[in-house]
Amino acid sequence: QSTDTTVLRLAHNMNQSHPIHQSLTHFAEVAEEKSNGSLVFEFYPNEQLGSEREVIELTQTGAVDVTKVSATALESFSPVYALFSVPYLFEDQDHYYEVMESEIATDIYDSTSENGFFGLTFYDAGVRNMYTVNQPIKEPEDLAGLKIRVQPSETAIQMTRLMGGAPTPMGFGEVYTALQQGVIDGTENNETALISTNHGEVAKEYSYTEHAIVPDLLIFSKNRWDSFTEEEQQILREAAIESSQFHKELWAEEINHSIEAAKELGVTFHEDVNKDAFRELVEPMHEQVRNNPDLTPYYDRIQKMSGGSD
Amino acid sequence: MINSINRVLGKVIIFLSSTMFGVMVLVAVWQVVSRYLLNSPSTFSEEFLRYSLIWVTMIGGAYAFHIKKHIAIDMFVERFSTVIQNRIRQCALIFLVLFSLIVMVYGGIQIVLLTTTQQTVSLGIPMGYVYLSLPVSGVLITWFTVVELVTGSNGAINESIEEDLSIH
Amino acid sequence: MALLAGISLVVVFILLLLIGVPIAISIAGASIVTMFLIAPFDVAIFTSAQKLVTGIDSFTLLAVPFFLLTGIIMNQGGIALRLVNVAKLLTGKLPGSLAQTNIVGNMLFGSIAGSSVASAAAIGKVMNPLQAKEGYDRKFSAAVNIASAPVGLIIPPTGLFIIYSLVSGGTSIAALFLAGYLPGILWGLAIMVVAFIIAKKKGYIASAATKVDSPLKVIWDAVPSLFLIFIIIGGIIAGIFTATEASAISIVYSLILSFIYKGITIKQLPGIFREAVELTVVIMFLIGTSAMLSLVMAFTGIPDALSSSILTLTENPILILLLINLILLLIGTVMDVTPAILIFTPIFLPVVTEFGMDPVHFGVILIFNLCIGNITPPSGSALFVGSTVGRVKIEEVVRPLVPFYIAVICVLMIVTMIPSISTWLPELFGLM
Ligand code: NA
Ligand code: NA
Repeated sequence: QSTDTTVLRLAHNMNQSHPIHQSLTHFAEVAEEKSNGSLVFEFYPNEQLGSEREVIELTQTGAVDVTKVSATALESFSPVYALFSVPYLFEDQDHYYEVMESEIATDIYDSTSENGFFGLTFYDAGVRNMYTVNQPIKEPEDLAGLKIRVQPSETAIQMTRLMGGAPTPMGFGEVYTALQQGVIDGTENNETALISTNHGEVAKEYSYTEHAIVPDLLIFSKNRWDSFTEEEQQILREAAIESSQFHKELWAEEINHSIEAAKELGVTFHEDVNKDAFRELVEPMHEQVRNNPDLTPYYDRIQKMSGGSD
Repeated sequence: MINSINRVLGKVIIFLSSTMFGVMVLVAVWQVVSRYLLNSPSTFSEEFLRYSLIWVTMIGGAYAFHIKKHIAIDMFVERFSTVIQNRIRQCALIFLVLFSLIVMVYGGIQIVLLTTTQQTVSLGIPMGYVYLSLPVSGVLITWFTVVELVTGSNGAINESIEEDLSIH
Repeated sequence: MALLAGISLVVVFILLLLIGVPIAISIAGASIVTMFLIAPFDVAIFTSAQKLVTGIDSFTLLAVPFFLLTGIIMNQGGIALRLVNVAKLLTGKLPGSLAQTNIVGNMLFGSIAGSSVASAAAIGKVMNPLQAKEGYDRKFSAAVNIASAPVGLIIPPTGLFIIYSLVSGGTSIAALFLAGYLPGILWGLAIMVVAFIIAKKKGYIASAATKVDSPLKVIWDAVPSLFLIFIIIGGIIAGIFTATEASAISIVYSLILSFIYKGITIKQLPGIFREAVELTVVIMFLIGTSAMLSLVMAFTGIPDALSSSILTLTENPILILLLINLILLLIGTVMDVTPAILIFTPIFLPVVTEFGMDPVHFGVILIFNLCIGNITPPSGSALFVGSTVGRVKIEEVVRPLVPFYIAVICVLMIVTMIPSISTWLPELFGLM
């Protein structure tokens, strides 16, 4: 038993019943165990210390040591993370895992080192699909003119427009009422949103457009990291990767639960979506990435891994 | 001399923050119009409004210290003789200077430096521009408060009376 | 840790408050001193500075200054006068009809503006002179106006519920707005009953001054003003507008009405905006420094520690609620509504949710309590403005206010004990 314990502050924005909290707890437990109790974590869940953006800043200065954030939130800190918002960046889930467990991911993680933090590992945060009140989306024609709620970002708006829908940016909290009142016809998210925010009560058609896969990331304060011994760093790395695998299973279970529960609410799931048609429509966004010197090196490497369709 | 500087400074702050507030109303209306009537939602408005509110609060809030608009409780202080009252008020002012110098100016500059490379989501400006309101406000508060400490008056009492009458 | 931090917070806060440091800076000062106890200097400074800015970085919060501006415009724009005429129509046959008109006027004005101060000024300015002319006791008239002014803070739209929604972690604004209607109306009715009794005793009769020439015209004139309720509240409840968008529309709408009524000229606009900015920055600064306080509380676990120690004291929900009511009433006597919401929501909300109370119901109770403080000495903005408008000294108006205090506290007890008074409407509209 080590006498001097180091306390690390870990913050995230989900409540304690969310799978990510369990996976982060797993990370903390593994690290504590491997370090014989010298690395101890203090949890600040539920946005207690602020929004994702604020907590990243706290990680930059070292007020917080470890944080789980969405890759989307990191776009403001390093343009490379904008890649994950590009629709159909990944061929499928396998391609996604292959990339996230390769050196490309590590290079992306390190792109913020000069800003005082870097990525340690990723956590599954689902595949984003379109769902609507009463219109299955199998072909681009099905989406034509439908008002689709998107996150208030330029990329999300451009994507929805290219795919044929009418993008309506609004805060996540308003979506349920907006669906109910017909202010919007649908929105896009992973399956858990049907249950965790009750969208399944009002939106009955869930179509696997699989247009985006955006991971969550575990980021670490650079200064704090440098203060650790190599052995401790190794322990933290291993714990992170272990928790990432742990989370994969937990997340898959969560998705299955959500699908079962949504079916009980009367939601229909549509697998037979013409993804190639949608992929073609968003090609201009891939073109933009290829013309962006910041992103091309990463983009090309990711595309090379996809079994070479492009 | 200092009083007239402060009068001009006050006018500038009020002009800037009121104008900004007016622009904010217009932008908010534009957001509604673009979303419901033009069916092409504006993407810059939400962020613009949030960051404008921060700037208005920070510079307007600094001026509000000058004209004593911030809510304070005077009941306790007023029980003492004038001499002691003045001493206590000086302590309060010194605390205000310390706070604005340490947290708003020093802390503010640190955040600004940290966030110059961070870009805001929809406007794409450095986040540091938003946080810059903090040290600017801190400097203004320090200035107004030090002047009040040195000269013994905040030079804005006439203005306050004028406003109390305008409440009808 | 929680105990030490708690003591530090309270001691520093009270010390700063007593030496006359503004409340916002007293909150900030207590927070930063406590931060120094738990974090390195630079970390404490950085996080505090960050919170001061990000605490006000909220799109929803924008509705607060916009509703304030609406209130100011209505105050000056001739809208109050038309609402007073409707109030006359409704209450003209009651004893003390001028006082009754004042109360209903405040309720109507409150249902489109979110400010007790604007209400006390706008309606009191019209009604108090009329009452003086008919021989009403000035102190009584002022007391009636003051006692009924805060209903506008409870009946929607009101910025207080928006601030509460923010600090309570996103309680639905639409649900809170609907929840405010019945408690706010009950407050108004309670004042009417007391005024009725006193007016009878004093022999104030139904007055000729409350006669209106043509009821239809009076209603017709007020329709555009009252239509605002449908746009704002209807729009928010139906999910068509966000609270912020609705507040922006209400500015434009009330401005257009005021121009048509010739209550406001273009020349007056800069002054109106200036007044709105001055009110806004004070509230926003408070919200920013309160965010520092919330951070310290999160870091030190004070709310959890406090709620578990209250729960060891007693587990009887009614006793706990009565205790909380008592504390809030006492706080309200000295502290303004907004800072009190910001400070005490994070402390009491976890306690009451522990035994299953709904955050919407608690929001109503909290704000109802603090609004009573808005009209009690030693400090209360509606009390100040109401006595200025009524041309009486604060000391003179307190005694006539006592029966009204008792009535309102009775309503508070009813609203506390019967949750459905608050939750029935939001449930009816499927918002809870
Ligand atoms: Na109101
Ligand atoms: Na009071």
